[in-house]
Amino acid sequence: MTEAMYYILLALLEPNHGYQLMQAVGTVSHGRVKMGPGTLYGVLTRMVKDGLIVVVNNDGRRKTYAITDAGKEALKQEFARLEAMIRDSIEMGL
Amino acid sequence: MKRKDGLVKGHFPAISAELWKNERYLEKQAEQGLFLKDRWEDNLLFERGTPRKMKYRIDIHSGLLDEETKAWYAEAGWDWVMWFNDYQIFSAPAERETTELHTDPAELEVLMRKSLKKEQRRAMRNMAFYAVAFAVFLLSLIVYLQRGVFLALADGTVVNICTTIVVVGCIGNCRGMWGHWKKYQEIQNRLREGIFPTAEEKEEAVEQKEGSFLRKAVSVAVFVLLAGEMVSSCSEQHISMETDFSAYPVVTAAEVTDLTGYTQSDLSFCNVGGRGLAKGKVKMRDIWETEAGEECVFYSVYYEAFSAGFAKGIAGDLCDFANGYYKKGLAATAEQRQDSRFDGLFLTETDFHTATAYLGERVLQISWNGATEKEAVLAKMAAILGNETEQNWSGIGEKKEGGSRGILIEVTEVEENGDT
Repeated sequence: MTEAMYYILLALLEPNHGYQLMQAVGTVSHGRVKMGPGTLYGVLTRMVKDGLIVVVNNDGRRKTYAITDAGKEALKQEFARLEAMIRDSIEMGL
Repeated sequence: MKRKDGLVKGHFPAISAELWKNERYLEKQAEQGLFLKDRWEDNLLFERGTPRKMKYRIDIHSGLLDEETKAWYAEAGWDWVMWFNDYQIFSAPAERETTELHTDPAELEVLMRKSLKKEQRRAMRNMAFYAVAFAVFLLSLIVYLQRGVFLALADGTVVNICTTIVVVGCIGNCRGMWGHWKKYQEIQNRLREGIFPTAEEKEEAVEQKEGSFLRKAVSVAVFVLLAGEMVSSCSEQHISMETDFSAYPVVTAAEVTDLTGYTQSDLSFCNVGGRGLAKGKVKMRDIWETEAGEECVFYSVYYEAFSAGFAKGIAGDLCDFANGYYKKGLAATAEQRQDSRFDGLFLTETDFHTATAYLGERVLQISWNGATEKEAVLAKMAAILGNETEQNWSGIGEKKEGGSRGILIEVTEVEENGDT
């Protein structure tokens, strides 16, 4: 899972639409992760196709996305992986 | 670059994976006052304007973007220009503050690898197309070889030209597609290793490649020529002519009575006047009428001949097979049948053809050589038959129906005392 995917899934724990997602990712990452439009579009397209997120509302002007159960599961697995990496790093004295 | 409808035509100099090269190309165009406006097939169309510094970015997404998505890019400072194949093109004035389209290198790599795989599949499809075209042409050539005629110069000039163009076109295009396919594979491997593109590659000068449209046009023309040639050869039937006719049965008047039903099927005629014809297909049916009102039907067949050093091509020389007398139920004399002067096939020069019909005890011959002057034809026929003093050539008939040109001549034997 790429960093962009992770933060978008994290941000979509609350349903949101594309433009606000870009800002939500910045907020959640405390300004560290800046989401370019190409990255956002690519990730959203791919995750909808993979079933990790879903369009819950489309009023013709903008689409609202939300995370699916599969997306939550993927997020949890990635969180566990990252947690394990940090734990191992601390044990190694990093 | 060429002009089309007031717009200037151009095309990307680099393969699609080298996005930065194509972006720089667009920026250089803008510095020269050419701004990307539209597309025409695989070409870009630029409109003229005031030169200025612009930034261009190319993103890897196919299809038309919806307005919401375009707004995301606009929010990042980029104006959507158009989409081109699997790519979206954006621009912004150089001085405008913008966010780069891709801020996650890993995501960009995923997109690029997907795009490269698609390009590879496209290259494979193109290669398969040219390979099939080449295979079809080879098959056609093998058929020619089996018939014993291989790139005959006299009538096969078109075949020679087709061969050269098809070989060069198909092989050239396959090589080009294979080159692309290998490059895409190499880039994918380097993406995986994180070494694409290198800093040097990013600084490489952009060069405009010319001629791809011309190459495509030549390729299409080659394939059309090939297809036309194949259709033409499939629609013809050929007969093999051998010098040894002893294996062929003698066809008598009783056996061949009516050829009207044979216009599209195989025919076998042999040993007419000592010479023979093998299987052929009737191509034309000419009906001639003598001055006396006698009708004579000549059937034309396409053939290939190996004998006497004649060079024959596919469309070849026509061999007229005279059969009108059979149709009428008349019979030639045994002597006339054995007389080699009255052959069904009579070719001694590639531009001079004759055919013979037996009408009772009279012999009719049709001859043509492009020009149809009676005196010239009579003189040639006399020279061919080698019997100027014994033959009296007279009479002329008119074509009633059919396609070949020529003269209908009646040959009458002259008695020793000079009377007919």
